[in-house]
Amino acid sequence: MGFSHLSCTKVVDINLNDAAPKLIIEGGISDKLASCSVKLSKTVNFDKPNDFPAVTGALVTITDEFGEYAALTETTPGLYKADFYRGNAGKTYTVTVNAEGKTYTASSRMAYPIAIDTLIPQRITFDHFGKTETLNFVKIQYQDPKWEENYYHFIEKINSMISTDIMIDNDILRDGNVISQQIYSENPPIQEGDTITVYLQTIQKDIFNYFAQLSQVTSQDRGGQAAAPANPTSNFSNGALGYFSAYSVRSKRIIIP
Amino acid sequence: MLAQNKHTISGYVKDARTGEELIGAAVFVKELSTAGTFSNAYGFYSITLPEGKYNLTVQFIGYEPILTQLVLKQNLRQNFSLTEKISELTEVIITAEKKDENINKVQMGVDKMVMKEIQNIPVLMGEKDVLKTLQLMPGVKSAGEGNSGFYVRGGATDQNLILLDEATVYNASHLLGFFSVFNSDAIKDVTLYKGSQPAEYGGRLSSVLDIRMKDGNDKKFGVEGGIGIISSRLKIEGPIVKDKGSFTISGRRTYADLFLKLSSDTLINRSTLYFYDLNAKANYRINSNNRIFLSGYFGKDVLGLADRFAFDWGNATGTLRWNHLYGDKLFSNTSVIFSNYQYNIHLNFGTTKGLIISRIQNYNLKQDYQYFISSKYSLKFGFNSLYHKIVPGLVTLESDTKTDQLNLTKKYAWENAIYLSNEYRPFNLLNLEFGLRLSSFSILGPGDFYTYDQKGNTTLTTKYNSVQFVKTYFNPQPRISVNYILTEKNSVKVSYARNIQDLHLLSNSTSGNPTDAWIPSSNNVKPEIADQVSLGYFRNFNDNNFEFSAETYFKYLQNQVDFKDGAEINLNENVESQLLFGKGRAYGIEFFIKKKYGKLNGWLGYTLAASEKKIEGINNGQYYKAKQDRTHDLSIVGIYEMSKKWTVSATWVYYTGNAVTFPSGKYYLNGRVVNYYTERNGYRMPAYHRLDIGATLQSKKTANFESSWSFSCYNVYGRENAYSITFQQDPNDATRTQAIQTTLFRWIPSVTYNIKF
Repeated sequence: MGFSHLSCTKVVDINLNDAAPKLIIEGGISDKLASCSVKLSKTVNFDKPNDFPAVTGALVTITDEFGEYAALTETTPGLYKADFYRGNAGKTYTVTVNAEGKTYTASSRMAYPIAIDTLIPQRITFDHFGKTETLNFVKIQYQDPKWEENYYHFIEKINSMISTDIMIDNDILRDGNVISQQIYSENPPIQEGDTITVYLQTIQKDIFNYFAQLSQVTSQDRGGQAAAPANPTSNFSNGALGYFSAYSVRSKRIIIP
Repeated sequence: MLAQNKHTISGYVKDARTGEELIGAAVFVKELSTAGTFSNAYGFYSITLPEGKYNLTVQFIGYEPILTQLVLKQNLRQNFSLTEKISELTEVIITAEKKDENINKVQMGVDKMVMKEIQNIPVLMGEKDVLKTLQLMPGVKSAGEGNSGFYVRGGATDQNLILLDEATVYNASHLLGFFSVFNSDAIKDVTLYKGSQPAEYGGRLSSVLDIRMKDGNDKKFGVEGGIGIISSRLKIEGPIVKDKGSFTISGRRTYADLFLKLSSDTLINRSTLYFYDLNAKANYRINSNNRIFLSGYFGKDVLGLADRFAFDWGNATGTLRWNHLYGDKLFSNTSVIFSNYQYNIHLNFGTTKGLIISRIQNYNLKQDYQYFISSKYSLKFGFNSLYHKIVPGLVTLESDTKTDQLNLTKKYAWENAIYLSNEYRPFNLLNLEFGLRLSSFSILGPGDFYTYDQKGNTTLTTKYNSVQFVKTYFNPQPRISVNYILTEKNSVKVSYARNIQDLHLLSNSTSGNPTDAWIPSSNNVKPEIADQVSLGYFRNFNDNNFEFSAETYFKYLQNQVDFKDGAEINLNENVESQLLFGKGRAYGIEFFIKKKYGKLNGWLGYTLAASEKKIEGINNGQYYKAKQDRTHDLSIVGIYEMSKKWTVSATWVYYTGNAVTFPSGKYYLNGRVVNYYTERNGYRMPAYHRLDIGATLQSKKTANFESSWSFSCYNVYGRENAYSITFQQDPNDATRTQAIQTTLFRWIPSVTYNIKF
């Protein structure tokens, strides 16, 4: 804003309450192998270092609506996987977590996949404080199915690093269109010669809302502008925070010239 | 027993120099202590007395009183022209019309401001601002720096009915709260009701801010203006026909963005940030019983970032009025009013262009009567019919291949009210004002109306056409105020009022925002209801040199609105599915002490208060602090007349920070550190305090020309008051998180040169 030359920021000491540690569950399954995983951790107090304790020794299982069932094994502390268990679009999956004497469940229906039609590199140059800056990014195009509500989650991998930006979209205003999406990454920025892989996940509405709310309360993004910041609505029962998402995924890869 | 003939003396109280009618001038009869009245919003008074000889006093603050003797044998039309007092600088700033007026006036919780006395208050950037000055009174709180709006007695910013010549002003601030839309050069009278508003007002829960524009000098032309480093203003006024009609036009513009051009950043130096506004009014006295007025306001704020982004917003109002006198006792006013608030957002990202438009309007027909029945009894009655139209959002997105449009369903509503209000003074020591307002609010088609389930999914969509009533709400609103004078210097007042609100402002940000959305009551959203009880004690002492008051209130609120956790309200057709409803309560005690006369004068106001809500689905259904809850609020104002030329002033304010939601922990998810929240509004922003100082130099004053210089500094000790606190990763240590505070303003000096012809 124009008044920025009059305003200032500084680090402050806020006395925040110590809350009892809360269970966080991050779970997903897609139509690809080695995708079925559930991560269990706990909250810590805000002024403590970012050492988030893993929840070990829990019982984690996944089943589809027809009873096809798998138990996930703890490969590293807090991370439970079933690499051989792959999902199918159209089915509903339910995850059950038994940790520290309590049970938590969540269900998610796997949406049908959408292929990325094209993935092309783009570059713009602009003037910033007298220097010429270059911004590399990519643009993808895909066909949105008409007559249904579609929700998308984009993951961008730069070389071997996955970008932590939250990129989601829906098809309001563009139902049935060929959608063009520009994908920017600030963290890390894209250089020439980088290999860019874009994953297009088709997700459910509740997961879309989860990620929308998540971007408002993330420490990385300066806490956002929410009027009533709150924990993103979890689809787990019994008060666990986090989410479980069944999704289909397609990807495409290019090298930035 | 001789039946005494009664006669009426009536007329207008005016300023002798300019012809402006004076609002709230006291016209009292010495012989009959119950006989007296205050001139109404058009300067009209009427007193009915038995035949006889009387001594009348006519008084108004800042003017020499008139004492006159008359013999009443028949109805008499008598206008009074008051002359301004010469040394205005010793007058008080906000005050009563006569020395004990605050004792006599029934309306407790009323702050009346007389415009000429605002001159010496130091305000932000040298502007004499009525809203900023009102916020220095107990019970009225600024919403904070960078916020438009204000809180009255624990009420949210949308609970204030702001009227400019009877037209609704939806957003009363420019540049996000730094200036108000009220140009004090154009204003004659400001009245704020924070207690029980009389029955002639309705539509908002917490207060009524009734602002009347000046009519213009009907005797000679004049020009008044000021040039400052941040803004400038100009006013022109004069007669249309001498002593029969006059006009006034005033305008302002800021140019803070000229400083942006000095930046070397190409984005900033091609950016714009300014506002302008214009007030215009004309009136004509057709004959002694008929007068017409036409007034309007137009204002616009513009914020632009190079050519990528442009955002403008503003109000426009228009009022056409006809005053008519039926005999000497019945005063009538008919008004046709239009009001519009709109914002436009233009986006330009090369190949993609976007435009978002949103607007709220109302068309209003209003009829008010005031019947001065006898010296003890007067009646006010009338009706009000408003047609509301809301365009929540028209979005157009143009890319190189196609154009997409999103039109949220427009909303139409029809609001009607009739009212009857009585002012009764049965004997000298007791003054009663009681009334009833009956209102109806109907939400109309055309459009789609939705019913939702608990999770916010649409369960039913019903289509209505343009002549159908979707839902109608009826609400009776009783109002009563009792004023009892204990002794010549003490009085107590008790009042009760019920108020209804059918327009609700949804604000999805920590600060008030020009894009906040208004929604009407509907099949899902019920009218908000407030019941307020208040009790006050008033006292003048030291030969009326000091004024003291203590008022306490309790407000019980129903059908209060708040958001679900993570609510999405921007351009959402189903925004009503994101809302939760419940009740609220606000209570507090306000202390006020003012030194009215002398070289050093000023006041101190202190409020201790609470404001809470209880809504199923938020905070486990327990009471939680409303955002506008402020435990302590203190304002100290001092004005010192150093000499005939120099006056200095200082203002110190202190208040508890807003209730906010801060994280109580953190966790790791999706490759990032996420804030963990427990209670809603369980924390406080840091306390706010600052000192402003100002000085006015009267450089020249002759019969035909006046000039002065105003100097001020906002936030003299440069306190870093918190505008927002956000939580983020420590940029220097990825293993830790930290809290960052943003401050908007530190020291802001200002200089303005003022002239008056």
